Amino acid sequence: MTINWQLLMPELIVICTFVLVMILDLFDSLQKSFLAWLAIVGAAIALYVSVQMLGAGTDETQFNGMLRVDKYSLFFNVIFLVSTILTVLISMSYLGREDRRQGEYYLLILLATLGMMLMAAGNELIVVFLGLELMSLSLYILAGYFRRSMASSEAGMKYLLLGAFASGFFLYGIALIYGGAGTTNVPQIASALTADTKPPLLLAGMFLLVVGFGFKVALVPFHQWAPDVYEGAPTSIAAFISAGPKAAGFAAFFRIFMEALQSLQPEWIAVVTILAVLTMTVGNLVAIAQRNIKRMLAYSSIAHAGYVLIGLAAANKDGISSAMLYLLIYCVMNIGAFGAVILARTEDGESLMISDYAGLGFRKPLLALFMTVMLLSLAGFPPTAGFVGKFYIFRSAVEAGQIWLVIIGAINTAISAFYYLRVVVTMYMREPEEELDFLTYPGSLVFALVLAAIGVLLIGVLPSYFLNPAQISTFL
Amino acid sequence: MEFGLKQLVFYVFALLTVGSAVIVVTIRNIVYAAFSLMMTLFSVAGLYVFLQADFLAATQVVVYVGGILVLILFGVMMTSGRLDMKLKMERGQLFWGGLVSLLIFILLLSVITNTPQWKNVDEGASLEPTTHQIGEMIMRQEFLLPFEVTSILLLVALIGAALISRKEVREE
Repeated sequence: MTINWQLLMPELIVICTFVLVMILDLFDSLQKSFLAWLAIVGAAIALYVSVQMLGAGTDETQFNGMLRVDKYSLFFNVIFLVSTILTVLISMSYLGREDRRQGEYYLLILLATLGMMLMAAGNELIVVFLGLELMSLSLYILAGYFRRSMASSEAGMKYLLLGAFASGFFLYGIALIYGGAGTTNVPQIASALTADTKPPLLLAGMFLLVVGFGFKVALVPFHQWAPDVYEGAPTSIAAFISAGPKAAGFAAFFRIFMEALQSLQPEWIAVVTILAVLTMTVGNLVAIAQRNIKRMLAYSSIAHAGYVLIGLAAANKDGISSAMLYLLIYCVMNIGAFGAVILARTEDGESLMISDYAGLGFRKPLLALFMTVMLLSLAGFPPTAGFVGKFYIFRSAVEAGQIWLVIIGAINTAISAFYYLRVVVTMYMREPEEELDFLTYPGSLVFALVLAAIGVLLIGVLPSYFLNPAQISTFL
Repeated sequence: MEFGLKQLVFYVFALLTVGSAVIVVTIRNIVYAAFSLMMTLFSVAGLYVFLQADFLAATQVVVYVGGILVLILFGVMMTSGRLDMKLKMERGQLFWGGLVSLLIFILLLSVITNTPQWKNVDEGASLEPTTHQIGEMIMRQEFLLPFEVTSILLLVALIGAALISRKEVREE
């Protein structure tokens, strides 16, 4: 077996950065922020290499078909690495200069990124599972990172227990699929199945995989962990969990269901359609009732997973490519929104109640502006990226003939505009009840927010520059 | 189907597995539950031997019986401080747990009865140890990547355990 190391460059760069951060963390004299910048540089180089390989149109398998380095996995690498860079940037000021454990924080983020990359490139259910576990384990630890905070410990514990439960379902599904198809290799499963033979083992395995993925990407009714974890976890980690890992879950979801389980399409389209409707509707309706901005963003991120699922329910090339574009947009705008929440910190800690944002538009114009851009994008208003993402997703579903799914999606978009705009209205039109002392703007955080805002507006104004790479990157 | 020695051995192991598993979830004394779990794990190892998976059976004994079970017992001894702690079970837990188990049971039962043909263990094959083949697969062939990724996975667990359990250093 020969290994083409060049194909594994993005993964190898992330691993090397991880090792470097781990070793340099031992030197106490070194500024911890140096480690953060090192992680950012490593991720940026991996991002550059991924973009280069994407441009070259790489498509090869490695390790006897275990990994498939194709444009699809490289496009997702871009999403993961962008999320990682933005997350590290918004974390630096949030963790504080005196936090001595920062080294572990950054290297766990890098390892979670590696897990995501393996999930997107995994051409074999075992590799996908290992990537999923690598990502999840890192996230459990990160969610409970603030050991002194009860809420953070609770978030870590809850995430660990429910995540382990979901992994169990996922693994059981893999075992049943192996029993039905005799292999865990994605293309081989597809060729072992023909349209007229549908082994019951495979159907059962498929349902268990849906449950496993449903937990990981927080689809209703498997979403209960999400609001508690997002609320308790450090805000920067809540941003990370809601972005990259969700995209990674969908990356593996799409590849396994569209390629390996293609002959079961009629069965899973029905399931996915029901889940999409439930996820969008419940996510948006419950978000209206939230008073805490982190919980509101948690329910909004659940609802967004529902929109992405429309792309899978459409089950065509356009559906997958627009879902990929949507995930890229969603990651940027969601991390941006959480970053704005971090920016709204006072001396006493974070101000997380939406009522605390009253009058922010005049006292902190820059912060309010960032928040407004991100929320408008999440709501899907033109000319922001959120509009572009929703537009292409809905169009692909119309092409697939899922008209009523699009109607439900559009109604949900209208519902979601209500609670996003309520925050904007609170910021610009309400008088503050009490004076809160907001901290100054940290440079790295503002830099991250400027990047996110530019990204959101750029994709919104020039969508074709981003849609075309997505369209040529599907594996179909 | 004839009922020979093989069937007898299989049903004894199956009964031991299911019976001791029922005891694990119903008994109130946590130490008895842990020891009952040992019985379950041992019997599963027996079933693996039955499927000619000798390496898996040995691993099952070493990892689960030898490692995880001892860890559970240590955990019990170190946390509660007394071994006669009674486990509480509420009606709601029984209902939901039972419902989920029942649903999975129905799912598996329908899968088993609807599967037209099962692949049988090749009776005529010579019983060679599988360890050599597994070693080749992991170190030289397609399972090299999962093997390496597992090592990184264990590293994450190590870092996480250190991070969570380490004493916080006060800043001077």
